Amino acid sequence: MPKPIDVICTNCPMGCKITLNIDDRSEEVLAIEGNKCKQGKQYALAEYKNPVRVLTATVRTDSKIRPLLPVRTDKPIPKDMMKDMMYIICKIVAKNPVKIGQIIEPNIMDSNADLIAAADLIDK
Amino acid sequence: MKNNMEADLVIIGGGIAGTAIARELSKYKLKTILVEKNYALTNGQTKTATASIYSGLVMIGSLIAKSILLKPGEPLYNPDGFKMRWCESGFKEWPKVFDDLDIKYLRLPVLVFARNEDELEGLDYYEKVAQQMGEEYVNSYRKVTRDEIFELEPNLTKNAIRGLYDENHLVDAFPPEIAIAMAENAKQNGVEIILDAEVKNISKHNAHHIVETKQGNIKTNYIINCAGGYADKIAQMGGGCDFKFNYKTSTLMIFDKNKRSLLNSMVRTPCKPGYLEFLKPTAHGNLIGTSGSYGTVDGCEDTEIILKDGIEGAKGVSDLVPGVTRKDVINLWRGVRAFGTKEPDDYLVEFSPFNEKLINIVLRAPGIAGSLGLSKHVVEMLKGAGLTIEEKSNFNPKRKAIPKFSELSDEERNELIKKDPLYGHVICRCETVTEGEIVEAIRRGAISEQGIKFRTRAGMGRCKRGFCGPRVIEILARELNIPITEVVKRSYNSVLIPYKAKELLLEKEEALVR
Amino acid sequence: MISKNNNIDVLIIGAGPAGLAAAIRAKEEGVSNVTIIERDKVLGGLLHQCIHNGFGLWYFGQDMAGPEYAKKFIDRVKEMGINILLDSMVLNITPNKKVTFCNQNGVQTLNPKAIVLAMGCRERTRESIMVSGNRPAGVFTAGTAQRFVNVEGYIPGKEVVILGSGDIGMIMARRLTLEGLNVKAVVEVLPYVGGLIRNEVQCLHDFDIDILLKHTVSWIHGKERVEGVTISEIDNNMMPIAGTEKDVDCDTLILSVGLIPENELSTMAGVKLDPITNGPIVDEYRMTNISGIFAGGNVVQVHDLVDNVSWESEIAGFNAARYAKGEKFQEGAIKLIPGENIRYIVPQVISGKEDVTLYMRVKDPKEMVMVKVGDVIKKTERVVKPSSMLTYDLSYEKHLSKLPQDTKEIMINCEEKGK
Repeated sequence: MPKPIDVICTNCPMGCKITLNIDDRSEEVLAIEGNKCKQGKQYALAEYKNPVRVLTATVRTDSKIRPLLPVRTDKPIPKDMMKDMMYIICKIVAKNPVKIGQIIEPNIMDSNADLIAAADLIDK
Repeated sequence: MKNNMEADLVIIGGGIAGTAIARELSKYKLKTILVEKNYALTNGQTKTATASIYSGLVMIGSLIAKSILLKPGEPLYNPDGFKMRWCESGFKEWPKVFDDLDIKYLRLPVLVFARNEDELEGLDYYEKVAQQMGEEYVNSYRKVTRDEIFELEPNLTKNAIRGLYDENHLVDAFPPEIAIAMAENAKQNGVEIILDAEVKNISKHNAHHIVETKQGNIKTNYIINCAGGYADKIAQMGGGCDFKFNYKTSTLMIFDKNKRSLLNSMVRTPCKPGYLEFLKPTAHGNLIGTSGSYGTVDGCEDTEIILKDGIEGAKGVSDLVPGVTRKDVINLWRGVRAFGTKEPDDYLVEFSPFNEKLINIVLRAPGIAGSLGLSKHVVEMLKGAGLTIEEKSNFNPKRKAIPKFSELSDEERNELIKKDPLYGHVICRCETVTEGEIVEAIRRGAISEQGIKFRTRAGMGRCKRGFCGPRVIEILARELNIPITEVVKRSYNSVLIPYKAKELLLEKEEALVR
Repeated sequence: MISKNNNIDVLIIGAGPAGLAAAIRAKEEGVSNVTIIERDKVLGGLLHQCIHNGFGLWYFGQDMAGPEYAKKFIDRVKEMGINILLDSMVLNITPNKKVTFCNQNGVQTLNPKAIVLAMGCRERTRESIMVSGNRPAGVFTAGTAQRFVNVEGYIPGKEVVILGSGDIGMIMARRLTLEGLNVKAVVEVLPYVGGLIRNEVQCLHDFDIDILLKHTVSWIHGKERVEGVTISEIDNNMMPIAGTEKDVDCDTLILSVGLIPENELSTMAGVKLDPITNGPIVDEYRMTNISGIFAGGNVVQVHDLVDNVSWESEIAGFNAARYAKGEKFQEGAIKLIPGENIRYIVPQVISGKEDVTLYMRVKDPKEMVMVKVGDVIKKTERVVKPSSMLTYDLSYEKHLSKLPQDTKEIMINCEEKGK
C-alpha cells in the first residue's frame, strides 16, 4: 500500500505541496507529484529521505560585556537532532576570546557537524 | 520591613488627594507618613485623569456631563459645596504652585462648537447654565461665527456651524507629574513616603491607631483616608463605612505628537449628561481625546480596553478634526471614576461617623483643581479637632523637577552633560529622555517601569518601549541593585523578564534525566 | 573623532546593514570623510540579534547568520578608515543639512555635504492595533523579545502566543521553542502566512506549532502579568466574530504586527514621505526631495532580504558621495505609478536616462500573473505574494530609451493571465 507523505517545497515563493507516495513495506519512493518544476522533485526527495537543517543558537559566555555568543552548526544536521542538541548547547559556556568561525564543540552529538562561533567574542 | 514606626498622621493613598495633603501637612511640625499600596504613586484614578485645572466653558461642560449622577432636585451648580469652592479658588492658586514645584503646564483656549441642530441646542444649554452660574461664567467666553472658528482652528471639521470660545480658563498638566511633585516637596519637608505598603488592618487603641501595612506597622494618632476608589475599604477597616461608589468609565486616547500642530485649543462638542467628546493638546505635546458616553462598571479594577470603543472613539475624534485618525493613536486606556454616593455632586470630606480620628476623603472630577483647597481644609479640620498645629519656619515650598533634556537649549544641555555625562546618553528615543533623568528618577523614588514613566516620560512615546524598554530595565536593575529578573512593570506581580538564558532548557533537561 | 574642521563629506545615520553598506560604497567613491553615527554601542544594528541564518545567500553566495553578515561589513568599514560615532543620538536634522546629535561628551552640530538616512524601522505596538483587554507585563514586540533572548541573555516567559506570522514572528516561534518555551500558537489575521515559505516550514511545521489563519487575539487576560489570551476568528472587516472565542493560557504575548520606517528625523528635515511605504519618496539615486539627503534600506521600504538592503543602500551611499563631490544628477522627470495589484514601487521617481532597478510589492497574492512595466517590460510570474519583494531591471538601452520623449509617468500593473 502506498502511503502519502507531504512536503512543502521552500525553493521559491510557490511553496508547492509535493506528495511522495511511499511503499509502506520497502520504503521505496513510488511517485512524486505536485511539484511545478524539476527542482521541486529533488527537494522533496531530499527532504523525505534526510531532512536536514542548520541549527542556529546562542551559548553563554564568561564575558560581562557580551553574555551570549551566537553559534551555529557549520553544516546542516538531521532535523530531528535539533531539540536534543539544544540540551547540549545550553550547558556550554564559551571562554573569551573567541574568533568568528572557531569551533566551539566539534562533531556535536556525533552529527558530523561542528558547532562554530558566528561572531567574535573579544573583551577589550 | 520597618518596625516601630510612629507618626502623628498616616495618609493612606498616594494619589492627588494624599500627596496634596502630605505637602500641606509638611508645612507644620507634625510627623506624617504617606503609605501607598502600589510600587508607584498615582497608580489609581489620578493617572487616568485628563486633567486640567479649569473654569469657564470646561467647568460648565463638566457640570452638565456629571449631571447624570444627580438625584432629582439636586442643583447642577452648587457654589457652596467643597468641589466648586475649591475648584474655583484652585484655578487661581494652582499656577503659582505649578511654578513653585517646577511643574510643566500649558494654558489653552477652549472652543465648544456645534455641527448640527442637536449640538446647537447643546450650545444654548451651555449659555443657560452659564447664566445660572453667574457673571464670571457668562463673561468667560464669547460667541464665535463659522468664519471666526476657522480662523482660530483651520483644521477643524468643515461641519462646524458656530461656537463658544473661552481664551483663559484651561490649564493642562500631567496629573502624575502634579502629584509626584507634591510628594517630592512633601518629602523634602520631612514627610516619609512608603511604597508597596498596602494597608492590611487598622486597629484603635485608646488614643492611637495601629495601621498594619505590608512594610510594617505604624502607630499613629490620626488617619487620613485618601485611598480613592478603595476609600470604602479603608473606611470599613477604620471603623465603618456609610458610603458606596458608582463607578463610571470612559476610554481615552493619546495621539502622536506629529499631529499636535493641527490644534491650537481644546475643541469639543457640547457635553451632554454622561457624554464627553473632545480633543485637546497636552502640556507634553501630544493630543488627548475621547468620544463617547460614560459606561458603568463594577469596580476600580475594571479597566480593560476594548477594541470597539477605541475604534468608535477614534472615529468620533476624526469627526472633530479630520486630520487625526485611528492610525495616530499611540496609547489608549480606560479610566474608572469612583463617584461616592454619600454626597450629591460634591467631594466627601469628613471625620468618619465611626471614628473621630479618621478623615474620609472621596474626591470626584474635577479633583486635581480642588486638591489645594482640600488640603487646607483638612488642616482646619484637624485644628478644630484639637490637634496642635504649629507652623515650621523652614518649610521650603519649592522643588526642582528632574531636568527635562528634551526641552533644554543646546547650551543648557551641554552644561548638564558636563556636570553628569549620563545626561548625554539618550535612552528613550521617542521622547528624548536621557539616562541622567532616569537615574535621578530612581534616586527620587521610582522603583518600577511605571514609576520611571511617570517621572521622566520614558516609554510614553510612539514606539511604546520598543527601543528604550530593555535599556530602562537594565538601568533599574543596576541602580536598585536587583537582578533583571526582578524588575517590575507596575507591582510585584508584574515581573517583566522572569528567566535567565538557558534556565528553561536546563530545567527541562533535569526533568528528563530524572 | 570629530575633527575641528568638521569637513564631513557624507554622514550616514544608522550603522545597521543599510548604513554600513552605504558608508563603504561612499568611501569607495573616493571622498575623504565618511562618518557613521549610531545610537547603539556597537555597529551592526539589528543583525546582532538576528542569530538565525538566511543572510547573504544572494550578496555573498553563502548562507550566514546575521552577525556573520554584519562582520563582513564592519571589518570593511574599519579597514577603510570610515569615522564612527557610537552611543550617539541624532536629535535634529534641518532642511539645510545641519545635524545635531548628542552623546556623553555633549551636544554637537555637524554640517555634512550629504546625508544618508539609514534609520531602519520600529515595530507596530499593541496599543496601535488596540488589542482589547488588560495591559499586563508580558506583552512584547518580536524584535524586543529577540533582543532579550539573543543579546541580553534573558527569557521573557514560559508559555507563549505569537500574534502575526510575518518573518520575525515565525523566527521567534522557532527560537523560543528551541530555548525551551512552549509556543502554543501563531495567530494571523490574513488568510495566508505573512512571511516566507521557508520560514513557515522551518519555523512552524518543523516544531508542530499551530498556525491559526484569519484569527486574531481578541483579549489579553491578566492584570499585572499576562495570564492568557482569547483567540477569535475574524470577519471581512478584521473584527473578532462573537462566539468563536477560544481561551489559551499563556504568560507571554509576542507581537509581530508590522514594521514602520522610522522617519521622524526625515520629517524634521522636510523630507516628503510616501504615504504607502511610510518612507521617503526617492529617485533612482535614492535622493529625497531635499537636495543632498539620501536614504536607503528599511527606512525607505520594509525589505525581506538583507541582501537587498545592502544593494539599495549602496546606491544611496554611492550617490551621496557623488553629490558631496559636486556632481550633478539627472532630473526625476518620470513618476512610477502603482497600478493593478501593485502596492508601491521604489524608487517613486526616475530620470529615464539611466539604468535602474525597480523594487515593488503586490497587494494580494496571485498565481500566473503578468507584471507590466509600462510597455517596456512584460514578465510572467508563476506566483506573487505581498511578503516577497519583486525586482525588475530597467535598462536605458533596452527599455528607457524607447519611451516617447515627453513621458511623465509609467504605470506598473500586475495582471492575472487568462483574464
